[in-house]
Amino acid sequence: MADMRCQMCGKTNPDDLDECQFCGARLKPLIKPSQPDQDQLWGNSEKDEAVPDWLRELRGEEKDSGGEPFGDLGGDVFSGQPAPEAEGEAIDWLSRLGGQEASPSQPASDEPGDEMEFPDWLSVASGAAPTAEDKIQGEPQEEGDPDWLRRVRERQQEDSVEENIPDLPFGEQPSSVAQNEQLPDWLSGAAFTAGEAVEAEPADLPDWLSGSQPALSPFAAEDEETASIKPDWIIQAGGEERLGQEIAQEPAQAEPIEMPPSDLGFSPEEAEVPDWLSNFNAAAEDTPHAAESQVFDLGTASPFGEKVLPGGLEPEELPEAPDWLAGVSTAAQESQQPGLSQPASEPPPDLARASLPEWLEAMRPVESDLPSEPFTGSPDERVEGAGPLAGLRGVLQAEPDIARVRKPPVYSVKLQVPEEQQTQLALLQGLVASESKPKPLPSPSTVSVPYVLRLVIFGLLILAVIWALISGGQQALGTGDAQNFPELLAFLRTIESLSPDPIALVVVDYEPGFSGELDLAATSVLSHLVSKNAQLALVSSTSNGPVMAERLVQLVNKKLKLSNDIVYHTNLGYIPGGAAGVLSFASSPQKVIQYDLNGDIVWQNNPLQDQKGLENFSLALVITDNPDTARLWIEQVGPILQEKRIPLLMVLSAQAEPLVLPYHSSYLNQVSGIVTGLRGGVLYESLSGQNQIPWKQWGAYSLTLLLSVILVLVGGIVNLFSALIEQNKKNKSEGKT
Amino acid sequence: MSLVDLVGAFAGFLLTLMIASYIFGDNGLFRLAVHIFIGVSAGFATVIVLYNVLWNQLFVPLIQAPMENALLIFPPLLLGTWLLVKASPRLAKLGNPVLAFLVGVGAATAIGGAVFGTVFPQVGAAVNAFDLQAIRQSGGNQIKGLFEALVMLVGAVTTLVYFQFGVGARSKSLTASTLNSQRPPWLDVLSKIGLFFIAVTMGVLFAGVMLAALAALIERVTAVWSFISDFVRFLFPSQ
Repeated sequence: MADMRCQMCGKTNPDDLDECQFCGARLKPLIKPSQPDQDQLWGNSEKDEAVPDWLRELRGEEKDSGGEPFGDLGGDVFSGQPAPEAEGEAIDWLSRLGGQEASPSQPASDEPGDEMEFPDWLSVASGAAPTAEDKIQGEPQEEGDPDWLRRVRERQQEDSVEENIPDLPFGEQPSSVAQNEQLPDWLSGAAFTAGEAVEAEPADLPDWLSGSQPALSPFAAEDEETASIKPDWIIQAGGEERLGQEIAQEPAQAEPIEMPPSDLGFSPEEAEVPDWLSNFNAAAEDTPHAAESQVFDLGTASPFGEKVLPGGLEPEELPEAPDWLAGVSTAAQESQQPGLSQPASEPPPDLARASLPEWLEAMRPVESDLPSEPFTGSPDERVEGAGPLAGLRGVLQAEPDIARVRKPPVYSVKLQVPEEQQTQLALLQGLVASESKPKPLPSPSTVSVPYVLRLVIFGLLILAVIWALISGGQQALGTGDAQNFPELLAFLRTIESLSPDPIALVVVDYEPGFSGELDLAATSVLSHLVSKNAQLALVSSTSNGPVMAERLVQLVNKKLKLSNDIVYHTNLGYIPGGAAGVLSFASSPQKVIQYDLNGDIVWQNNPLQDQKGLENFSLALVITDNPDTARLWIEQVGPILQEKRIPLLMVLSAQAEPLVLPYHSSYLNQVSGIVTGLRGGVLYESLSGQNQIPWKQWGAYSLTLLLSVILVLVGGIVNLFSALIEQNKKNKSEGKT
Repeated sequence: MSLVDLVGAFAGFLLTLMIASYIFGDNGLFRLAVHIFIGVSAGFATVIVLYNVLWNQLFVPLIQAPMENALLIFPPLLLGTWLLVKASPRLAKLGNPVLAFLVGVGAATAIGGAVFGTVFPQVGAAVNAFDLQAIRQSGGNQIKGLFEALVMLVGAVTTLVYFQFGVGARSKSLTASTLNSQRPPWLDVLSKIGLFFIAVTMGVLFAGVMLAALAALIERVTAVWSFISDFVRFLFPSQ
């Protein structure tokens, strides 16, 4: 399968592909160009007869080499850098165009018989610099020479006087060139005569010379129809001598023109630019767009190397460019940039407008596609800043926004609370915080009315006691009529009615703090019992009871020493369990308490050796300061005692008497007698005949009691008046409002 | 005065002054005295329980006569040991049956004693107070007896009414004052009378407390005065 060469990247592709597999360019143009196919380019047995000799030779060489017509020149053409290995080959065929030997500096030789006349600029393009000696005076012009050719020759002749530039007839080569180079047939002469080209061997002429084939491409398809058409530039140009001069004059003005890379291959800087080419270049210089065109920059190195001209021509020998070519180039530029293009040099008026060949027509951009105005882009368009298109406007974003790597936006996770709600929230938080925070108490003053009043009252009381102690209690009040205290009288009667040698169950359940109030009454009662030869069984329902019982016995002994009596007692200890323990003790005391406080067996020794339980006792005496303890013994033990007809007596504190007195006042007489506090002790002491009243204490008690009553009354009166005053103030303030 | 008595008296004197310093406000001396009192009381109670209860009433009978006292000792010993698991947070639930037994027995004892020892006798006494014949037989004045009975009855009833805080049914016709009181007007009158009797009772109780406090103050001041006198006499025996 034959390969196709991509016009863009120059790489070979299979023939069956429509697009290049490397760059994606179309291999087969949409518009059928009038180009020779590969068979025609490389020669086919059927069509070899129509292929010119020079072309035939090229095909043969390329086939032998197995490469592309120009090898890898395509890739290098556009870059402007000639391929080193292809450079020689390109030079060879160009040299062959001029009939010279194949050499980098000399074109390949050509058949002598195929020499054709070609203008100097073409011979110069093959590498040979035309000299004055080489300037051919020209062969006798044939009558069939076109006008333009005649004009070229005339121009060359005129210029050769000044510049000694040999004016070579069109198609003729300088002598040096003729000696060293062998130009191909189409350059050696016959192809540049219109008539001969048409009549003799139109197929041997290059297309661009014959007008039927594209002059820029050696692979242009030969078209018999276009072969008869004479290019206008051939007709109009004229003067091959002028062609070389113009080329030589303006080598530096050569501007990039749109030509295939594998064309002339000469450096315009060193080649003599013909007039037609110079006109074209002048027009191109005036247009800024031309400066940007870098397709075929003749100012750069050509792919075929610098300073290489077809046919070995020097730049000065290049014939003048036909006007049609200049006109075509100018028209092309104007169509692209009509606004910017300045009026180029208009073609000479005597030149008829040439009919463009098909291949040139195909190259012409469609007018509808041509922008009417130069596209400058909208100033508002974004300028690309990355990628190969950096700096251009109106291009698609190389980095779309989607593909741009940027930090994702951070969304706040905080609750968006309006300002109003924040204010309310602050208020609520303040309320909640104030609830937990303790309110700051006003700092109390070091000296306040209650503090002073407290000290005053304490001082008065202390003074009263001290005064009573000092005075000996002479101010003691009377104990009052005993008839006013029936519970005391009943207590006394009960004691008096006891059987001889009674066994008294004494419950000691008062706290040490109340010993000052109860010691007198308790010792008085116990002394009265001891005087009756009673034996005491001490028990307690509180933990401090046993030690208080022992203390009480010591006090009684101390009091009785005076009478030389001894207290016989048994300390049973502590009854645990509260109410349940007391009830169990009342039910079966032998089981609850088996050992006394000293560790001795209680129910086997005197006085409790009978083991009758609670029936052993003659009476039960409860000494307590707590009304609950008294109620406990009344509720738990009272029914059993009443059942056994054992009296229950109590020695109580003043604070417990109001709550225990109903038990005595009831018709059931649950409590037989009550002795209350210090007063009761004094009364009992006096009624029992012991008369060991502590007068000092009684005097102090009387005095402090009186003082307390006075203070309470005074305080009550003051408080009452204060309340009345506050009420009046409040009423007045309410009345005003 | 022996040395023991002297040391005891001095300790009592010092502690009394420390407690009396509370008149000037809470201070470290008062707190020290209170802490000493609490510590001594707790220690003494511990000794009494260990010696008088556990040793004398549990271990000694078990050692001397285990078979005779087995039924009497082993159940309380078992339950008491079982109750020790309450000290562990993890095993506290295991001691709940014993605790329930104790609570049940205590509640039954208390309720039985209250009902049969207080409520019934006091109600009977309140009713029996209107027995004019018994008053006559006791030699008392019947009118006075009757008046006392009425006062006692009114006092008891109104005091009980005062502690009734029932909420009546609300209706649309009730006024604001009625809603605030939430009981009928006649009930409010009785509650106010009961409030009077309660106030009188509170006063009597306060008076008794005050008398006890005065007696304690007098005893302490007397003790301090006696100590000072004895101390001075000890220091200056000639005077």
